[in-house]
Parts: sequence; structure tokens; C-alpha cells
Amino acid sequence: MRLHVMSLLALGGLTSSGVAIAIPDDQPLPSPSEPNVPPPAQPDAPPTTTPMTPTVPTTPAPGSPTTPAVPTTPATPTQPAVPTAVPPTTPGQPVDPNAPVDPNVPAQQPAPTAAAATPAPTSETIIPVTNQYHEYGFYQPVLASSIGVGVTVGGGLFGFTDRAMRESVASDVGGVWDVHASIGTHIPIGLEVGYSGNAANIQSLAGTPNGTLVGTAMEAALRYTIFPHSNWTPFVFAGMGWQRYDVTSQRLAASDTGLKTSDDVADFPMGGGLSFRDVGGFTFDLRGTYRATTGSTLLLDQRTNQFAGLQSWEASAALGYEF
Amino acid sequence: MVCAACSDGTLGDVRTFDACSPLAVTAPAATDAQRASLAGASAAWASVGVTAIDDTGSATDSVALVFANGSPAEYGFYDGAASPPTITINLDLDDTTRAVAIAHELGHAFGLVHVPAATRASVMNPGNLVVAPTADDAAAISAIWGACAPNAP
Repeated sequence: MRLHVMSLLALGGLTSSGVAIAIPDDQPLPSPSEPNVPPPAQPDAPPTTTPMTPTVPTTPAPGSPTTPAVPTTPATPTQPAVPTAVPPTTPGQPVDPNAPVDPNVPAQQPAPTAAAATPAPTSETIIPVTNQYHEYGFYQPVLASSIGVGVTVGGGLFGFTDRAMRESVASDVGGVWDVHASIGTHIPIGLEVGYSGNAANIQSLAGTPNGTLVGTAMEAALRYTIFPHSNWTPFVFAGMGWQRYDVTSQRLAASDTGLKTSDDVADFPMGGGLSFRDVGGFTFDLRGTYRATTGSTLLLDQRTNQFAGLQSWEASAALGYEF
Repeated sequence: MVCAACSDGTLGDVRTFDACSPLAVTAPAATDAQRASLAGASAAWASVGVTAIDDTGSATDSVALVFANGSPAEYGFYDGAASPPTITINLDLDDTTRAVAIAHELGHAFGLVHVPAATRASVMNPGNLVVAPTADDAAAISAIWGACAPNAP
């Protein structure tokens, strides 16, 4: 058995990969310069003779005619590329499928096409796989990690949803900053861990800010990327984490307040967003987050004698890089 | 000036008043209910021996009492750096809790600092809206200003 490597471009341009094709030993080797068509018989053609012309020109005698340096070969009659056994058809004339078939005339073979010229893969066909990424649904060959591992840094706005907490800060909107590390941004389900911080001025009775409420959260979430391979993709996420609030720079010594100096709660972030991923690896995320929390004892609302909830919303944007 | 954080538990550099000298609390804009709460706070301190709060007009020192809207978690605030020193009380407090909050802020005016609830029950417990002045609170004031003379207010 002999193995021959030929370009798939010659076999129809399916791919630029090389293909090794096994050809049985009893089959003649096709010449690369000749079509795979047996030479037509030439029963009546006269034997071709080539005049013996000296390759080294002799010095001609003075006055003798000049001998041409290039030997001339009589032209061989041009042979048709199509076997002569193919019944001739008039171009444009339809072929009658019910016409009787002459057993002495070989059946007409369809014109060779690129697909027909390509042997069907058999157990003897060896096709080296070099560029088959597209066959895997959850694989991004551009990225070194193949699945997308990235880090983003961003910031935005946040606010509390509980009325008592909203009334306890100087503004309904505070600042938030966060860092996220994601594994699997180019597969449907990925993991995201993050740090998030926020700050808001505490409202005082005198109308001036009295201290700062600083929140810190460490969270992990599952992220569902809806279009894993697209540059633009929406995503949703949900998870859980730990959140701590500290009251800083407050004149606590001279005030009677239901605000504790700190509190720890479990939080459950959930939300969605839109992500853009540049081919160079840069990313840009817009996201909205709602954080549900477990019971908090940070702030006692004297009107209801109940502790306020620390549920919050967040709208943020982030820049990052993935590989 | 008022200290920024008072993390050491002190009041910082603010003005406080000798509990053995008459102290007027002026609240010209107060409603009748708010004046009643002030009277209740004064009576609560007097019940444990602190009788400095004077409403006869003979006191030379005074503290202003105002009521304001604010955070539901902010019950009262003593600003000893203001001139005159001012006690601000949350308007949303009811009659009972308002009196306790005024008593708490008067404690700051006498120089008391917060007492953790785990240490003992005190009018100076942080976020207190329940506990009235106790004998221990009066003893804390005496520790600052000394025992008042028999004819002291």
C-alpha cells in the first residue's frame, strides 16, 4: 500500500489541511501531469519518428544552409480528453432516460467533479485533524484558556431597597466598586468570584453627613453566558457570599443611635448584564445586581422596632481582560 | 472641636456642664408634647439625684433643644461644639422614647460617654430608647464633677 499526500484544494477545497489517502497496490499511480483517463487507442496512427538532429551544431560549410539548432518534432494529433466511448450528445439536447442502451457502449460516466474525485473516507483513510475547532460547541480557540478566564475591574452606583436604610444614608445612591474573576466566559456555565465594596454617607439629624457606611462583600456565583461565542452576549448570574458593613468616622460618642458600628450578613447576589469581548481579549461588562441578605442587626428602626434589611441594588460597568 | 470618630469612647473636645450648677434647656419652638418629654427627662435625672436642670430662668449656662427630621436610626445628637451647645432629637420619636432620648443627650452634656449594654443597663447605652437614668449613671456623673454641695441644685 502506498500513501500519497495531496492537497485538499485539489480535492475540492474543503480545507487547507493535508489528507493522506491510501491507494491499493493493484491500482496504477496517477501521474500528477495527466488526467486519470486511459490514453485513447490509436490503431491507425503511423509510427512517430523523430529526426536525428545533432545536438551539437557542426560548423556549416560556407554557403551551406543553416541547420536549425532545435530539433523539430512532428506534431502529434491532439486526442480528446473525453473517452471516445461516450456517446456524443448534442449540447442542449435532453437525454432520453428510456432510450435503449447499447451493450457495446460503456455507460456514460458523470463528469468528474471535485466531490466525486475525493475518495469516501474509509478505514484506510487517514485525515489529520488540524483545524476542527468549529466542531466543538464550547471551545474558543482564540483564547489560551479555550473556555475564557478573565478579570474585570469596575464601579458604579448602589442603593438600599429597605426604606429605613435609604433614610439612614444621606443619598439614595452611593458608590460601588468591584473586582470579578471569571472562569468559563466562553462556555454556557461559568464560575465567577468577586469582591465588591460600597460606601454611603450616613444621614444625621442635623442635616450634615455623620460618618460613612462602608460595605464589603466576597461572593461566588454561577454565570450563564447566553451566547458563549459572540462578541456581545447577555448573561445572568446567581450566587452567594459574605457581606460586612462598617460605620466609620461617625460621632457615635455624642449621639444616640440605633446604628451599630458593624454587622456581618450572608448575601445572595443575582442579576444580569451585557458583555462585550474584543478579539484581543479586552472585555467590557454592564451589569445589574440585586443582593438579598439574611437578617441584619445593623440598624434598628425606632418606628417599627424592627431591624432594617440590607438588601441592595447595584448598577455597574467594568473593564477587563480575558485569555 | 468635636472629635471625628471618638474611637477612644470619649466625647472629644466638646463643652460639657457641671452637674452641680444650674443648667437651662431652652426649646422655644417645642410643642407641648415635646416640652412634656423634656420635663420627663429632667424628672428622671432628678429621681437619681441629678437636679442641675433648671427651668426657673436663674441658670447662667444653657443648652438648646431642637427637633428635626432625620434617619430613623438617629435618635438624638449632642453637639457640644455648637454655640450654644445643642441637643437635636428625632421628630419621629414618640412621647416615651423622646423623653429617654433627651435624658441620654443630657447625659452627654454632663460629660457621660456611652456604656455598652453588656456592661450594665444605663441611660447611656448606645441606641437606648428604653432605659431611664439609673443610680449608677448618677454615680458616673459624681465621678466627673464630684459630689454636689447640699445646697447645690
